[in-house]
Amino acid sequence: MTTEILRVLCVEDDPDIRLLLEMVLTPSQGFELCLAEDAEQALRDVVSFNPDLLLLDYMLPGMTGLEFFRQLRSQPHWAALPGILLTAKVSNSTPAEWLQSGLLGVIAKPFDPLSLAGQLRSLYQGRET
Amino acid sequence: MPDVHKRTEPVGWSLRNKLLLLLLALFVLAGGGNALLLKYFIERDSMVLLLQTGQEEVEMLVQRIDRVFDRRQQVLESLAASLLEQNELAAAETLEQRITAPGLSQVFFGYVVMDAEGQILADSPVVPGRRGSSVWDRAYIQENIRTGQTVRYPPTMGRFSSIPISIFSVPIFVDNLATPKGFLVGYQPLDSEPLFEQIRSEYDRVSSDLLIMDLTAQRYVSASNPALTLQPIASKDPLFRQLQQGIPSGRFVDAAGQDWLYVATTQDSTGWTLVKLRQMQPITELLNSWVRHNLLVLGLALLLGGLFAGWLLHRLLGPVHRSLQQMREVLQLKKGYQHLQVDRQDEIGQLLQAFNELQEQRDRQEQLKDELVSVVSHELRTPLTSARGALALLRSKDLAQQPEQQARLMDMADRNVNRLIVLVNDLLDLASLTKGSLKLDLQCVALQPILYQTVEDFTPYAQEQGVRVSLKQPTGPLLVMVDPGRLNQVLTNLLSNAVKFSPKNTEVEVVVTRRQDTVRIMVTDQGEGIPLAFQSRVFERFAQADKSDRRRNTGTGLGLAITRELTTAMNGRIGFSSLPGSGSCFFLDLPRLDNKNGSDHPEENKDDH
Repeated sequence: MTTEILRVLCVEDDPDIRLLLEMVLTPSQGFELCLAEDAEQALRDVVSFNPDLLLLDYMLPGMTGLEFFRQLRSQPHWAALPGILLTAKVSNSTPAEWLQSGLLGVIAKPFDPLSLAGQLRSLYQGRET
Repeated sequence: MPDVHKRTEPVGWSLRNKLLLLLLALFVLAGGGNALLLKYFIERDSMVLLLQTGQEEVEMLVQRIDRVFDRRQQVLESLAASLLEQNELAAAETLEQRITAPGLSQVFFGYVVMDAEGQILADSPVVPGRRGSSVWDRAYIQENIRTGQTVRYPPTMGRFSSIPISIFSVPIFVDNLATPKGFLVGYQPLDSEPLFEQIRSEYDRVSSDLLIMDLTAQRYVSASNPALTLQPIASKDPLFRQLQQGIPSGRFVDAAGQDWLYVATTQDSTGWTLVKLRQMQPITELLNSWVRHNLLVLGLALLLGGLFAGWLLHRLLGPVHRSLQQMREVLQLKKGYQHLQVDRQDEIGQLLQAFNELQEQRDRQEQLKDELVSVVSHELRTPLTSARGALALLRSKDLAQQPEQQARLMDMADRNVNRLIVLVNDLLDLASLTKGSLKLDLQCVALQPILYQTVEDFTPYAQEQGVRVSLKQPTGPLLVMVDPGRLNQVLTNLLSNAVKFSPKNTEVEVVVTRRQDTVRIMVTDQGEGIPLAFQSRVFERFAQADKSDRRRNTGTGLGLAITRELTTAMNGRIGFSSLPGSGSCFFLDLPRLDNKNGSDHPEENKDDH
């Protein structure tokens, strides 16, 4: 396991899931976490926090996580920012357009919190290859 | 292979073929029936007409013969009177002179004068050996003596001429004397009878026959065919038999197979029967030709009508066939439904249009169902994520072993499992409500205690959220027919919504007012109100104005949908008024039972109204 600290900005509207993420993605696991409730807050946080990775809920108040991701990546400064989508919408197949828009991956709810850290890290490392 | 073909393409029994067949059958029935009726009625009517005119003709003939014979008798009788001189028969020379007077030969062919003993005194024309012979034994002389009257004697063979003759015989009387002084006879050979010849020539001009028959003597007196004159009538002759039976007119087939119409009249003075004959063949031929033409025209009409009907049916059913083909393709090839082409306004067009609309409705329902499944699975996954996550963390050794964190995780698991239970219950409720299978326990109860209890139960939760709840309701009987448990659910839903959208330190008001036939329960909050764009969807399932509603992690998105269904099931009505920025007021109207039993307070009623 690498000791590199991964700075993750989470956008999730459900407080319980935010709490879960907070408990799982700890500094001891190699994560520094910033939690945002909605896209509006996330746009502010992304500047101050300067994350390595975005973890986005699909169903956000006002817009979808995917829309937020596209909007952010359209700014030159964030054009290369990787993102992972967390969604309850996924059934068996993931729409191709989701991956075409530059997402590293999609994690389906309900997810296993104990393996989430490993999933995030392997997806993040897999981006270079 | 042909069997399969038959099953998928039942063309033999298609509507078009059935209708064509029906039309054809109708045409043939109408045409055939028409031809037959035409033939029958024309034949009958023309027969009646012919018989009628025939009857008239025959009667006129009888009169004509009577008139001619009467005149002959007059001439003969006055000639007889002129044969007396000083009450005695004139001398033979005088007699001869008298009976050869000019003009008399126009009346009878010949004349014979006899004395009282029947001895011939004079004759004209003179037949050698006749003068001097006696005709005393002849029946007409005897009848003259017996009756003292003129006798018209039936045709008989002339003794001297040996040809059939008709005889008129007149007794010559002196005034007041019983015995005649002599007799005068006028005779006429039938083969040269001018009257019959005249009539015969007339009948030659029109295509019919005339018979004068002596039925008692069973002999033809005269006929259009001169060969028949004085010939015996065969006993088997069908006309003779019909006349013997007294049938005055009708139809018969002669020995040669010819079809005849006949009219007969009996002449009283002679006892002869006059029969007018007309052949049926020309009439039948005419009729047949009419019927043939009729059938020809009919055939043409049938052809044109069939073509027209075919064209009409093709035009009418063409769209149906096309649509049927399209639907078959959709069903067999599982292609997507495409709208049937509708280019007409009639019933068929409307049917196809209705089909399209039905399909649209089905598509919409299908889409709604898909959305519902998708939304429901999403709504289930979110609390499942939290519950499962919390449990996983609790079981892990590395994380969350501090008691404080354990308690939070257990709360989280508990909360989300409850949320799932509520969600599943709501879904079941809604499903049975929309299907109409939810059984309500409707009772006639007083409204106030239920409201009081609901508000009382709800107050602690509201206080937690920093919201006050007030209740204002009138005193006096207020009876409603409701399921108390379900009414509680409805009110709790409305209260919970109101509190959820209320800022801290505001008040949610519950006000009850009597109306004409209903009672209205209003739940008013001082929240932000409902966005105008969302107002039309408030009662839809999983409709939430904003996902941020769930920041408080309450509500399934089904509450108001269930509330409305329950209210409707209790014969009530639900509605709301809301201005964005100035709160919302949800109201519930329930039918009142108390005003009908007369225990209402009128002034209160008036105030509320």
